[in-house]
Amino acid sequence: MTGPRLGVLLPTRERAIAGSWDTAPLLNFARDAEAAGFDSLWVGDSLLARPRLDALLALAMVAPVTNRIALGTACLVPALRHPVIGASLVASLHHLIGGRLELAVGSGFPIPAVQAEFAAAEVPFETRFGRCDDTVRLWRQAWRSRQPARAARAAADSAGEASWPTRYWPVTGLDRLLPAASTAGPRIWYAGGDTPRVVGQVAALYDGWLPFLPSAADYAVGWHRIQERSRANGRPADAVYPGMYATIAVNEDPAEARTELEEYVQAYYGYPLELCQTVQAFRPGSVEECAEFLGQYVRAGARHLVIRIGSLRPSGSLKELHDALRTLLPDCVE
Amino acid sequence: MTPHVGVLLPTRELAMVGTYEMAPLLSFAQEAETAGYDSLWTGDSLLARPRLDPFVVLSAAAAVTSRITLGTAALTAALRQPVIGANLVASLDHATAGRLVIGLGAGFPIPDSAAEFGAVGVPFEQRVGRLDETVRLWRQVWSGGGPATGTYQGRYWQLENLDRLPLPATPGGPKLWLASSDTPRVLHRVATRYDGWLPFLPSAAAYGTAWRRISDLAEENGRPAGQIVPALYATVTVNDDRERARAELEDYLQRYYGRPLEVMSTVQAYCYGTVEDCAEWLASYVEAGARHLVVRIGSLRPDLPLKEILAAARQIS
Repeated sequence: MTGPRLGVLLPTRERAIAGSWDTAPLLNFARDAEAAGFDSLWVGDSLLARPRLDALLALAMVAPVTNRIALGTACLVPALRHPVIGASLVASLHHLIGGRLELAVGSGFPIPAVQAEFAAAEVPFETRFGRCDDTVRLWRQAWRSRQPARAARAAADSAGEASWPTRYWPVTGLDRLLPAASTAGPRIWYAGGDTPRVVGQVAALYDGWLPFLPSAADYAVGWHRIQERSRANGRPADAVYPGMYATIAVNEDPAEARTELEEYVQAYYGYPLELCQTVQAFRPGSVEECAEFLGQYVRAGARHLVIRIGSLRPSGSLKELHDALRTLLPDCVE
Repeated sequence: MTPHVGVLLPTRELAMVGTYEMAPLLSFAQEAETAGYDSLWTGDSLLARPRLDPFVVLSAAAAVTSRITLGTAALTAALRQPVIGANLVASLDHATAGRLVIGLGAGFPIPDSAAEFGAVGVPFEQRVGRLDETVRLWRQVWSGGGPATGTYQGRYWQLENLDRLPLPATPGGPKLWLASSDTPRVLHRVATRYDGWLPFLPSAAAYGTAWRRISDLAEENGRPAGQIVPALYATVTVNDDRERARAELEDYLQRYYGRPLEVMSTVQAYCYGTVEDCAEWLASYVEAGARHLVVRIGSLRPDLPLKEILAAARQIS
């Protein structure tokens, strides 16, 4: 019996909100997170909707100053980049980061700012789901194609992906792309909720599930369905890794914690907490209250918690937060 | 006048010998900085001559160096949609704390490059126009003029909301050099739109003529003297034994391009020989006006002669 893995978001967006783009504090944050004992460090991705440093380059920056901690995207929106451009960036990162790399990908949230972002990147917004999934298929196809042809065919057949994803990109010559550090490439999680479409895609295609569902009960149901579907697809029992993305604002004074979180959400998204809470997991409160909230997801099956610190002026150290959560969180369910 | 001296990170060379490990590149970056190089460069190719992505390599190199300028030689910008490119360049400018120079190329007119453009769905015949327009779009966005500069209207792109893109660390954006030849059209583009010129002309005399022309055109266009950096991309193989140096360069070219020196030296600047030979050859370009030498070491040896190459370049005064 062990507790969940603990990850924390690198505050690239928070720095951008503060108008300060100097990267030295981010490198220090990464070192501190590793020293504090966190298992993973994550960055989000946005061009115009919620601007910040490029997610993949932020990971490239922190890779040489860390040794052990896993580095991931939470989440990358692959559809914004042509898949061949994305493949080059991701494969290069895989060589830099190796087995420490975790990619959670998402399709893009349906709000006007994200629609504008897709328009600026010249990608039809209504095709975002298919483009996300097909980008992942294309990447894996490219990485596998570096294997000897027969092994590649066998691998493709067994994964049910023998067909070339040509819906959006008539790409040839993928076998000439930069190989990833392994033929399987990095693990790719899907950052999405519990709709039947998401459940189906996670169970069919992805290595992990990273929702931000506001209800742990919904998480339990969604996770159960994904496991069922994944088994029905003939995938091994541990094929999909259950993660959970949650935002906490830790303050012993509950009113202050809530105010901090409200300010944070308004500055981050331009929408009030009250509205965002209906779609995303947020918890202001004491560290005990936050741990109790996160613990519900652990009991519902989550094994990796990706924590965003929901404050523009967080007090307390990463070490204190890490140690408190480790002590307070329950063990993972078997 | 002492030129600045830069060296290429061997991303393609390592790929050619079958390794894509980043650790040797980061060590190389630190050694180059310690040795005293002014700049460190990396190339770009998706399918034609694949290698580690320049943005990832330079971001990582930035984290392990503190002084040295980091650059692309060259980035084929038109392979990337310009808004994606703008975000990558701005992020890299922050990662390098403004130590960034972006050398830009349109793409060499060979079938491999055409196939590469095909793979990302960009018409190859539009590569020059798309490059110049990418530069125009980036500069407009990076001018930081607020919502007024957020709408871009061009031939290839009509885009909105670009004022929300992150601004680079450098006001107005990093320096953008054109990596290209000495055709009248190129010289005009450099003189009117770019911050530097990075050719690999095989003749120092031709370099001198072209550079004078760029200077004249720049003046005619009202650009202050010194605004455009005259640079040179040169491949150098150093060995005390001239014949060995030549054999090493031949082997390098055969494996890099599948073509002999006799062919490659008609289009690109190559030198092999002793430190003195190479110093003399580089000096001829400096006399012709070059002020930043970007040296590619024409060797596949694991222990590249960083100090010897720098010594050759530093002999020039």
